[in-house]
Amino acid sequence: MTFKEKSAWIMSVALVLAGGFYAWSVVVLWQVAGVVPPPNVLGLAIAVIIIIAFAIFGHAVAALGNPMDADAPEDERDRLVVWRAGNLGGLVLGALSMSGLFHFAFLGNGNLLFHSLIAALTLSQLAEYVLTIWYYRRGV
Amino acid sequence: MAKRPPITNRVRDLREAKGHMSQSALAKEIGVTRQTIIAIEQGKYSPSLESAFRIARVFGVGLEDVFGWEGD
Repeated sequence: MTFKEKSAWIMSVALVLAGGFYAWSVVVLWQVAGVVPPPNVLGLAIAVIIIIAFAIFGHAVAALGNPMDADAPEDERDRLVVWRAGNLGGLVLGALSMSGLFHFAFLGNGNLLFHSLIAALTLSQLAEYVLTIWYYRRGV
Repeated sequence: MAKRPPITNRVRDLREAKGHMSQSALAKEIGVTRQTIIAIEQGKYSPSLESAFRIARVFGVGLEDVFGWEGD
């Protein structure tokens, strides 16, 4: 497994944990208030800290496991995998962002727009990491 | 998505014929990672034209002695 694939696994887990935590915090606030809650800045800050901590710890462990692999520069296959996964991840971001903007256009709910765009960013990045793993495993 | 390329190769055979050259050694000569050599041998990745030429030159053979089209 290349270091880049390990990195994609680490970041996927970090995003699922952080995104899951933030989504859970918003759903709890939603149930209590009965309306779409405003941006949960504290929840978002905790989610960002989870991602940063997981990324640093995970990459440090992966690099210690195989330092030469971690230092290896990107080759042509890595660049192709990153490009293809990034391209499709960008499409996911565009589609989900448009969905959030349409909700805002028709419902005029800025809080819902905020949560939609956070979800779009998280899910598109997750899609990019999952596709990176897929291309490394199944071929590109 | 991620369709297997219809290109076959004899990289593993040629490596073994060249005194059991390791995947790492070949990767170093070509300028790619060992994982990319593994992916090429498994038919999961078709190298660029430049890398294909580099592989052929390492083994001292022509391009068509290394790579072929599936079914040919």
